[in-house]
Amino acid sequence: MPYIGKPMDNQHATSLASEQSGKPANSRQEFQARLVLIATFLLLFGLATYVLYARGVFEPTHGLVLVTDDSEGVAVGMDLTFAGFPLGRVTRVELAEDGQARIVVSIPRKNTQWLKESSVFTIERSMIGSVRIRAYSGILSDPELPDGAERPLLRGDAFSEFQRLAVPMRELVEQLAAVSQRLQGPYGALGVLLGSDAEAQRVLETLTRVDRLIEGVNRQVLGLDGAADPGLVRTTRDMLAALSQVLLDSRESLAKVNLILEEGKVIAENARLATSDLDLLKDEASRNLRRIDSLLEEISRKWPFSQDAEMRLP
Amino acid sequence: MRFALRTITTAAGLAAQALWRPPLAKGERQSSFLWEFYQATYPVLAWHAAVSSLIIVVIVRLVMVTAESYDLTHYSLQLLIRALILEVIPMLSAIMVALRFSLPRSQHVQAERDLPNIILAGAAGVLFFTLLSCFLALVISYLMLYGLTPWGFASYTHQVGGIFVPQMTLIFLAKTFLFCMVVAVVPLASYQLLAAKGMPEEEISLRSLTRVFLALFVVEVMALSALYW
Repeated sequence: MPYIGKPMDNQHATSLASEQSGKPANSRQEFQARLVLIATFLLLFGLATYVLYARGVFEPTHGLVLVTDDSEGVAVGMDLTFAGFPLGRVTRVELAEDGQARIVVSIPRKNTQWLKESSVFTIERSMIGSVRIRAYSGILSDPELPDGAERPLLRGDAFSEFQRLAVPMRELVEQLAAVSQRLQGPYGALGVLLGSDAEAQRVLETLTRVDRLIEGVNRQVLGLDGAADPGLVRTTRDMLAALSQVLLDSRESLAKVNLILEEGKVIAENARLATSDLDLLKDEASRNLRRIDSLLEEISRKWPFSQDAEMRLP
Repeated sequence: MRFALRTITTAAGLAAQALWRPPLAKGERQSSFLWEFYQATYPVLAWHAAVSSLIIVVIVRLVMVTAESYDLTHYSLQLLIRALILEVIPMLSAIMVALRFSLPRSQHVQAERDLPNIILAGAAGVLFFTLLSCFLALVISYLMLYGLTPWGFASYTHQVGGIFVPQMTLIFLAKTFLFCMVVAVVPLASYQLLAAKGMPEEEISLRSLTRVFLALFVVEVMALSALYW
């Protein structure tokens, strides 16, 4: 089918395309066109290289197989993170013959230093947002994880925990509802605290009895009911007044005893002075006695029949 | 429907012509392609860069603010790349080249031997603008997300790598190729069909424009279905 070409006319002379269509390009425009063409190839090459680099095509990788019983939410391209940093990507998710899901993760070799023999891998599902696969390496001195290693994927799942908690939570809510219903009942919080309404009734009866008892005691002690019975308090008050009188009398007697004692004290003082005079007399007498004694010794020494006191050995 | 089929068959015929026709004279043809390519790209280069940068800045800001308000910043880059690079930019580039080059040029073809050059230039123009806008989108997104620091590069590259999975990359490439073909071939084919019927110029240009948009829309729907369905 031949092409129906429309020759240019003056009607389209203002259009840039029509103005110069078919004319060969001049050297400046040719140069600019070449520049744009080169830019196209550079952009194509640069962007393709960048995307391939970002995909990790130029990096050697290690394989890691994570085995779990539920791979729901795990998608190809998902990150395996360690301490918040993406270490590798999920490249394949498959179902093994034993019914376990196998998640194949590709890890660039520069990142394998963080994965050790003792590393633990978890899959976490949050209420909002996607699934996360995380690695935890407690002992960094352990040997590195070998290429193609197979490890279990543990659940660290907020949502499954929530499901597990749902039954106890429902029971708790039911119990709370029952409690609130009993709180509104005839015995209120007392019935809830004691376990049953019968117990609460018994406690209330006991309280009534205690109340009556207190009333009786009041009547006995204070005599509130009338003049017939003076009451314990009034009797005690009279007794205390009498006791006070007795104590006043005793104080007067004691004052008298005190005077007598004072006088006795004076007598004793006089006697002590007299005793000190006797001491002086006694000292003088004993001095005279010693003098007489020494005089007698003098006489007996000077006495002709005085015996020689020296003893002679045979 | 019959009209659409005829447009497609004529377009395919023209594409085949562009690919299979032997060159007439080596020097003349090369020069002519460069002239067509210059016409398709250079006069609108600055405008296209400015307009697409503005659109990119607006979309990046919009997505960032929305993601922050919903505490979904982790997904903002993914959303940006999906929305900008995969959807908005190729369509914008195709429309730009179709309106500024392919549609006006299709009405003023003097000789049959010019056709391969026009087709190639239109396709190369769409490719060039798509690549340029992708580059701008990546750079502007990075600058707006991380600022003027090199430390976000590793994380950014990792996220970009996470988005361009092989399936998505293939669909993106196929979509860009189809956009190139639509913009390069449909206006010429449409003009040829309608001019043969003796339609007035204004009606031809309007109908050609509609057909180009329709074809782009069909390609877009196909790509979206392949990506997300």
